[in-house]
Amino acid sequence: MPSARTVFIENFQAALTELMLCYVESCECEVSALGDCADHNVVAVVGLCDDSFRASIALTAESDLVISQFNATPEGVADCMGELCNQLTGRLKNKLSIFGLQPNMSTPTTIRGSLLSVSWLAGNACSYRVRVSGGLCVAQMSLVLDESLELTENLELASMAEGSLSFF
Amino acid sequence: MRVSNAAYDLERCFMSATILIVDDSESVRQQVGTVLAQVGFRVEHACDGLQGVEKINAGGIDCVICDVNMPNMNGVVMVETVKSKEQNKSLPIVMLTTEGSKELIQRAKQAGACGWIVKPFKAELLIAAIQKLTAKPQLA
Repeated sequence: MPSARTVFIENFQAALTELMLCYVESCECEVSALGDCADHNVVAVVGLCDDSFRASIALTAESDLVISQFNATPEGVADCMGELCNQLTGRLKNKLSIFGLQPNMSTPTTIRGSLLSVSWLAGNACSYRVRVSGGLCVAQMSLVLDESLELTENLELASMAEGSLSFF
Repeated sequence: MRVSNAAYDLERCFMSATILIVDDSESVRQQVGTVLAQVGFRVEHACDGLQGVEKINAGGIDCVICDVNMPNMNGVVMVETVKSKEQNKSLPIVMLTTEGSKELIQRAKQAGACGWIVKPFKAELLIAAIQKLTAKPQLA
């Protein structure tokens, strides 16, 4: 059985790739060094936690990429980035539901500036460079985990699929 | 009172429905609003649950599209608050959120929401849902 940390990281990468492919035609995801944000100028962070773990998820990119590939207006770049990070975190949360995890999500925090980078004060972090048509973005997840946590799949707990509609 | 209500209902039959979009992300409000406006709906915006409650209680809203995770008042609490008023019992509210957990969906259903869409949304699906929820009875 994979460790809980491995489950988190694998599902994070899967959520990232799936989300990008909702917006762009091609997406290559590769492991990168922590703090690697090229010369990005917009960053969004969303928190996710329950009693057994806490994670922070950060997404960085250049404004031009957010405008050209993710339909942001020039004034709405930070807001759009926040929503993308929100969707990335929500997608991860949905994937974790089959393990019985029901964490809480924060609202996004966004910063627009120049030469931004992200460093983590706690937990082990993983980082991915995502090459999409039109440029590059970086997604990182910092994870503090109860090391005794064991995750067992229960498909009956699966969340609704992204893009789906359900009437009550 | 009865006559003026009937006149009001008749007038609204010939108007396009007004949809309130409640989301803390301006990008989402713009995207959803553009999609709905293109097919003739009138659109209003609120940036959190508190503002959503105010706009709904002010009247004139035919259907609500509401996010869940928002500052000040989240979407599920907004639905509970809105539905506690008799005048809003029949107002259709659809949740549009990144989350899809069964527990959360059940909470929203119990609060009085009538549907759930997991982001990112498909424009045609959203339009079909809102058209269905705002369809007016044919006049004889």
